Amino acid sequence: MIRPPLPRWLAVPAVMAAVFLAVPLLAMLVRVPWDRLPALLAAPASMDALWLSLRTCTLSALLALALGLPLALLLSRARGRWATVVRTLATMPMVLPPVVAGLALLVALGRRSPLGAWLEASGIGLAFTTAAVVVAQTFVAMPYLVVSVEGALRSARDDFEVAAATLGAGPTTILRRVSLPLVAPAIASGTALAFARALGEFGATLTFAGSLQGTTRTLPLEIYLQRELDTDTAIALSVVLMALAALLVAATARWGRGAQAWA
Amino acid sequence: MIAPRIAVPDGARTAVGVHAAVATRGVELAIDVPPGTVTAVVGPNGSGKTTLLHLVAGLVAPSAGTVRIDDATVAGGSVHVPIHRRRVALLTQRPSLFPHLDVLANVMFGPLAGGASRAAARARALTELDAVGCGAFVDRRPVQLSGGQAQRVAIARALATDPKVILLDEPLAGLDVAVGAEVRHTLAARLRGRTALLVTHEPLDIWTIADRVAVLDAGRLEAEGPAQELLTRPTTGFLARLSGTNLLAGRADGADALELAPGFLLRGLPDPDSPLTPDAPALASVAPAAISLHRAEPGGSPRNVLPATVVSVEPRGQVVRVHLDLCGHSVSADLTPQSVAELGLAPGLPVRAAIKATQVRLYGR
Repeated sequence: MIRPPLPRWLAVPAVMAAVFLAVPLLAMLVRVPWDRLPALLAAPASMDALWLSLRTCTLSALLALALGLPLALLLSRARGRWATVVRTLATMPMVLPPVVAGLALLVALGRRSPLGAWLEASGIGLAFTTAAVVVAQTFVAMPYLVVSVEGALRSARDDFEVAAATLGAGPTTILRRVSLPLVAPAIASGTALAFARALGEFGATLTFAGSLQGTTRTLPLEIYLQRELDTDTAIALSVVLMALAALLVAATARWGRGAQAWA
Repeated sequence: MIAPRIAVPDGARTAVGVHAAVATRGVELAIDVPPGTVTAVVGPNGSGKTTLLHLVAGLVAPSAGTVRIDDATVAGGSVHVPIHRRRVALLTQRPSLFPHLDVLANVMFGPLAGGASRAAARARALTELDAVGCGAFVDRRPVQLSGGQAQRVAIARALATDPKVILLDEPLAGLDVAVGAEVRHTLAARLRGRTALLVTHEPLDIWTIADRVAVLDAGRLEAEGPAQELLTRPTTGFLARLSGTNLLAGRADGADALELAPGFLLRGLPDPDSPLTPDAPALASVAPAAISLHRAEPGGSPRNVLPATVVSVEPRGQVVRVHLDLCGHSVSADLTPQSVAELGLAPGLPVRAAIKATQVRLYGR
């Protein structure tokens, strides 16, 4: 079937948009000191930031999955006012400016807050620790997983679950063998999105966890710091982030296609 | 191809009793399904057929009354046995095969959920798949199956769990006529001797699959009994339409005539299994093809000739269905397009309806 075509003039703004998106990325690639790249990345501060980011982002993505998936499952079945309240709360960190998110975490869990003081007294104080980085990243990243998985669950057909129940499967078996496998692509892409969001986290981390090399100074923080001191290092680290981002985008696109196979 | 070599399971001994109301759906049913029989559930849309199935399956809770499977109350009062503990299979128009599992894994799902070993589940699944003629594509994904194949696999999957009761909600409605005929044959073979409820609109399903018929109307049970009896001697308008005949109610006049209206008698053959009691209410069933229409009084062989008025004329392919008012009764006659044209039939036209006495079945109600 031949669809009626779009108007030709649409090409002008569309090309402008594509160019606008491509130019900064290409400029970065042109500007990269490729010959010195290994040396720049091998610098202690760079290595510290790289490893810290990889470690904390992996942990944050796993935490977002472990806590966000159950929340998404419950929300997908919940109706009424309370469900709306919880759903709004769960998506807030997505639209909140990251600095505000960091400030909120500081007010709630910082040393001077009752909860923070209690944690400090219990010996699990968060202030200026790597754990604080994970908390900040999970806080801003989990909503991405919750929203994408809940959406997939809501649009999923429920007749498979009914069929499984009539075949004698209890709630846990249905969840494990039917419901979750059917939304596996959304879970995978939601986790990848959460990882990507954690990887780019800057404001909340800086506000809540600070910027200590090897402890709380993640890649974005290191890039921001090096931007004026040593632009080449900043650009080298940025290329690593860009490569990781491209990888994650490719992965989510692939999983997204997988989801359509049985839609 | 169809070799039911699996021992007749628990389903053969299970009775189902639904004596329950669902207020939100305007349903109040009292029905007992005898063990080992297939009961066809028929009735107009919205009469509560699916609700009846959902009550047994546990997808709907009764607002009053009880649902029993065997001697156990599964719903009613404070009891609500969850779906997965009822051992009830449900087949609908949609096969609902798990898209992420291949055919074999789909059929193994039930036995595995019931605690069977992988080897036992696999053996059982292969047996069930063979029994529905699907042994050849165990490793296919559901998306690779045709509609008929998918429904056969769904049948195998449902039966692999040894359900006590099998609930079928128009399982053939989504299939092509030719494919539906094959799956109907498979269903008839696989359901024989099991306790099942089959919602259908298709008389052929009743003749081939069902032992009994339950007629629902507006959320109530209107009639229930052996399929043969209810279809050959319909007692409700719905049953008469289902079996393709006209139903006329009146008073028995002697042993072989029905008084339709004062002075108008319909003579016929009394059914030996349900003879007429003189002066008692009685019924007559007449096939639409057994009625001929005339503009003037016809002569010839002994037959009933009654005054009628044309209500409407409805073309139906090879025949034209003429709806009549016959002595105050609604009756349909099937005529050829030629005779409709020759007679100049139009709504409001008075005609003479001739019905051979040998084509009229008379029975008590």
